[in-house]
Amino acid sequence: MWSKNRIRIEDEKLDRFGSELMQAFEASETEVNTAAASPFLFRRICVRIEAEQRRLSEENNPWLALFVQVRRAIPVFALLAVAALISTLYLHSARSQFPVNGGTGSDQQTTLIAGLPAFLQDSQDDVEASLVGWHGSPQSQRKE
Amino acid sequence: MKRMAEYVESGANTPPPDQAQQNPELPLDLSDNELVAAVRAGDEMAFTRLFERHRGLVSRLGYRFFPRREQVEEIIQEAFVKAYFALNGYQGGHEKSFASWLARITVHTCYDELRRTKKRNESRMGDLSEEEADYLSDRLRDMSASANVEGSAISRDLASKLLSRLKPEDRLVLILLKQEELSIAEIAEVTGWTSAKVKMRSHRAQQGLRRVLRKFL
Repeated sequence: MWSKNRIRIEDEKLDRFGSELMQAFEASETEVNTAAASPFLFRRICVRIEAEQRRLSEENNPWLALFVQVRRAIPVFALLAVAALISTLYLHSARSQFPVNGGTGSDQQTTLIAGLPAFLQDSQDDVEASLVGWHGSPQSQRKE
Repeated sequence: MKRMAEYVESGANTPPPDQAQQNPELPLDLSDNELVAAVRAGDEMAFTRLFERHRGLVSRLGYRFFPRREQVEEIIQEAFVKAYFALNGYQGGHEKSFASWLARITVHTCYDELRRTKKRNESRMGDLSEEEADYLSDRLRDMSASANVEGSAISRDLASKLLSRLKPEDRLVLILLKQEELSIAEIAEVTGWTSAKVKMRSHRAQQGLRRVLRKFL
């Protein structure tokens, strides 16, 4: 009962303060009139109306709309073309550096080994050694 | 500050004499509905006249929601642009209906802008300085000590910060209810909500404002 009463009093107080807050937020007549009579305000409205009318007429004319879309797409297509050119050039230079066909045997071997990460290099050696009949690398022999 | 209803009732349709002289082609005594008809027929001067007549109303409403002049000017522009493109849908019934119609557009514009602002500055809005928080606590404590204590006036900046903590819907309802002193039915008409929703919203808005202030008790 007592706590209910306390909450009610507290709410009333907060409501009163809330009303004060709303009053404090109010602007004066001078401020209202100053904003309303701001110079070039009507001019800016006219500019916005004209811009909006232009936009609407562009939307309503299908050819114009298409032209606008195409014009917007130009930078995107240009970017795609540049990206394609760069990737082509990169692939071309990579091929000339590591030719797949037409190189010597040692070149091919280098390519094969160069393509592997460092931790696989030993096992690759082991594979090659086993191919020529040598079982175990010097390191593995030492371990044994 | 005048309320929206008072504005609509009073001399909203009387253009200031200096501004009326700017459009000599149009008769001065044209009603709003006649001016709207003229704008529809392509007379741009008529729209200038409508702007001159009602910019005060729009500015007044803008200041109910926003504290800064640039924001209010933006609202005036936005509201008149919207009104211009919506003129074909305007059905003038009685003499004061254009002002009410424009007020509705302005309120919606303010509400949209309030939501946009809230989304943009969610974290920054409503941050109080230490002094402001202390001042609020003191004021609320003083109020509890005696109901009639006349404390120093709350600054507009502080009021703005506290009110910005409310949800846009709550703020809209509180402004229309407390400042514009509109009835539930009138708020429902302005906002396009049902009366039940307005009632529920006004209750929540009151709770929301209490919640914001209770933190400083």
